[in-house]
Amino acid sequence: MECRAFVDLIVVAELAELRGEGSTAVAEHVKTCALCAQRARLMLDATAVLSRTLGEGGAREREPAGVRRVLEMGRLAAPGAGAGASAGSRTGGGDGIAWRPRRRFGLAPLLAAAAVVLAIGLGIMGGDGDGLGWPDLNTGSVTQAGDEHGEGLEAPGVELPPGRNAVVFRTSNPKITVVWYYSSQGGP
Amino acid sequence: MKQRARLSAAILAAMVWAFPASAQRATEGAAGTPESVLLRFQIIQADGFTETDASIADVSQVLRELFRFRGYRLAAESVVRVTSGAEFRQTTSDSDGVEYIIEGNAMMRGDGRSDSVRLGVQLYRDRARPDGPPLVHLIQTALTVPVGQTVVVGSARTAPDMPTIILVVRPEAR
Repeated sequence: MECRAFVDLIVVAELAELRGEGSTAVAEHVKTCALCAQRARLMLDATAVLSRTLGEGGAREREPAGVRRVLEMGRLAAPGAGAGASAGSRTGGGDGIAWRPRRRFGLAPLLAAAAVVLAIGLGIMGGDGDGLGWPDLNTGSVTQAGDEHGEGLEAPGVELPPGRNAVVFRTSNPKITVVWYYSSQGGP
Repeated sequence: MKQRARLSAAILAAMVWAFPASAQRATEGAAGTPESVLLRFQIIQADGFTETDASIADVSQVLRELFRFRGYRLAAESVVRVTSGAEFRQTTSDSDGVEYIIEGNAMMRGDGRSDSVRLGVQLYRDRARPDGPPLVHLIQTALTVPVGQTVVVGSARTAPDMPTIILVVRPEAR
């Protein structure tokens, strides 16, 4: 199975699988594939940071109905990253703190509703030196549509300054987007 | 000169004939980009408010779907019309007399049909505590928002004894 397929599986993988625990296909793959292992670590790191950050207000214990989580790492190309290269611009959805749906399948009815986009900035990404071909994200941005100038944009885009991270929630209301900033150093 | 003008006119006509859509877009883009935008800001305080605030019903509904704050209340709001490329600074206050300063800049994009605004916004809270610093930097954000959309911006609390403040931004065309 190619890495590309595992990117899709990582979207719905259990935390233990992301840690390489157990004997599932995902767990076995992240043990042997450096690229997917790094993706899995990103999911776990993001989960930990978001859990701490959103824990102040308290993320809901379960994913609310109609919400899907997608991990979006800016608009990244992944030059030379091999079979999983295209996933650099859109890798899977990670755990989602405490919102994790209990079932791995059957999400299709939810997908048409809303999405949660996690925009992971430099603090988590690590930058150019990670050996994965991902460029630095010091001015990384997440846009849902439109060109690089924001024209034709259908949903808000967020620009991330260096060292900042943001979670972008596409909500059940198509007119409302929630952006939650957090920083490992604290402060706005 | 006349020949050159005729040649230019012919080339232009040929381009319009060959690329009518591009020519139309170019014309509309130059003339259609809005010169200003109306920005509606709402400052929302999270937690500790169990009553429903009708003025932020749509926003609090989606926030309730996402977070476990016990409630939300509108602390202050402000409306400002900003010319594209200009900076703005607004001061507003809540019922407790705490002042909030919203400042930033806006740049309009689009062709008059699907416009968006690139916003740099900073939110400060003035004199959060009598013995505290005069200004507390609460939120800093840079966004590109389609006109008519609403963006709800939050951030981790700056101090444990400070409330969680959420900034709502709505660009409107009129």
